[in-house]
Amino acid sequence: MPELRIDDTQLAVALADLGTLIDFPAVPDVRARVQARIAEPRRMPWWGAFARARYPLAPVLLTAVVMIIAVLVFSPQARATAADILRLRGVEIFRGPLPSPTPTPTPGPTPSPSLALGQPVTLDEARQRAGYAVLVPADAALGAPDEVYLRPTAGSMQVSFVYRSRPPIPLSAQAGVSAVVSEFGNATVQSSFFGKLVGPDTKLENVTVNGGNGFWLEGKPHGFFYQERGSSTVTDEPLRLAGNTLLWEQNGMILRIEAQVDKATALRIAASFK
Amino acid sequence: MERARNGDQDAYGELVTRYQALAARVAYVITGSAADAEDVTQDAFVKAYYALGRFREGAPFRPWLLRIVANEAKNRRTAAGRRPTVELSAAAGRASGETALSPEDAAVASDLRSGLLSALNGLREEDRLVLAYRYFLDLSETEIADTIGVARGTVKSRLSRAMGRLREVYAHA
Repeated sequence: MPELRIDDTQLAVALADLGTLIDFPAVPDVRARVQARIAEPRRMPWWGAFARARYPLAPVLLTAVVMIIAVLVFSPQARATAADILRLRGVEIFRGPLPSPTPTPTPGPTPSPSLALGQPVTLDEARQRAGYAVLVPADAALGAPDEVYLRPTAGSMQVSFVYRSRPPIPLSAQAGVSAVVSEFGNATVQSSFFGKLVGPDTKLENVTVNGGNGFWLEGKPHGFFYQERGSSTVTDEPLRLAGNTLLWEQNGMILRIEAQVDKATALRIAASFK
Repeated sequence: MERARNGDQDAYGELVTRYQALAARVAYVITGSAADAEDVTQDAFVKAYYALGRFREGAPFRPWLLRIVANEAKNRRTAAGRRPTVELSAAAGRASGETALSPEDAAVASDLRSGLLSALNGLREEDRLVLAYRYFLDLSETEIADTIGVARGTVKSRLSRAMGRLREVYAHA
């Protein structure tokens, strides 16, 4: 091969010319497959949740959790206190920092796909397919849900109700709706472990709801993920609303109200579930 | 972009349509396999979707995406354990667009191209990729810097060093 007696500029031109003749494969159309994959609830190894940027201090948190567990193992007194705090079956609550969400209120007549609650269905359909007795709040503050969603979880179904605009309940800056109610079926609770990431500015309180154990979370938005028991998979549960949250156990399911209301109102709504 | 960041999956689908050709080419240059490039493109877009929270608002999306594509492609290639090369299309031999050339000159041009390409395929990875990004994919130096995660000045010096090595390899082929 002869010496390449051209300068850098000519060599650059020769390379660019070569570039036009490279046998690049036909452009694949991956849009449909990508969209199908991101529409699915995300599954990842259990440590994946900690590695995500959404929880940048997760390693610190994990260390703290390990230390707390160590303390609990060795101290009966600490164990008793923790049992009191963490007495809701299958629910674990961690304190940790959370990024603030970008406010994008988008109220409107369209369903709320950004909430990623699953497939829009009718209430009747949800009742038929949930596999458990779906409860609906009868409180006048909410009325009938505007949207009903069904989403398969580890071993059951998650049913969610979206309430678009319910003055005086403010619209969530995050999702542009007033309230979201979710129910996680019995099978999920049996086989799963729900984790709730509570920001440092969030108040956490033990409450009794309809005779069952519950939590009242007030303040900043909550990250949420849960783990299938007996498996190393954590299913990511994206942030729903920036509102306060009431989480409780009833009829063997876990119920959740997210709305920017005070505790008394949340408890009143919870009492109306039928 | 803003809608995609807020979880609008259709808006994200539009970003996929817009950038998938470039993403697939970057993946192909790194893996040297059309099938791998397609898998990598798909995986990278899914990963990028979940990483949108880390995307700095107002930053250019293209190099940010390409960095994810490049990382994904490198992982795939490491797993496959082969040396990737890119090939010339059949059109190269026919030297289309150079009909004014005599058959002899066309043959020289064709020799030069295949010599240049095999020299390029013989370069070490770092040099091969920086040249491919710049001249085959027409990325700017700034975009290359963002894609491979180095300073722009480093891209400049890497490009000029890669050109030098390309001459050497070509001369000794």
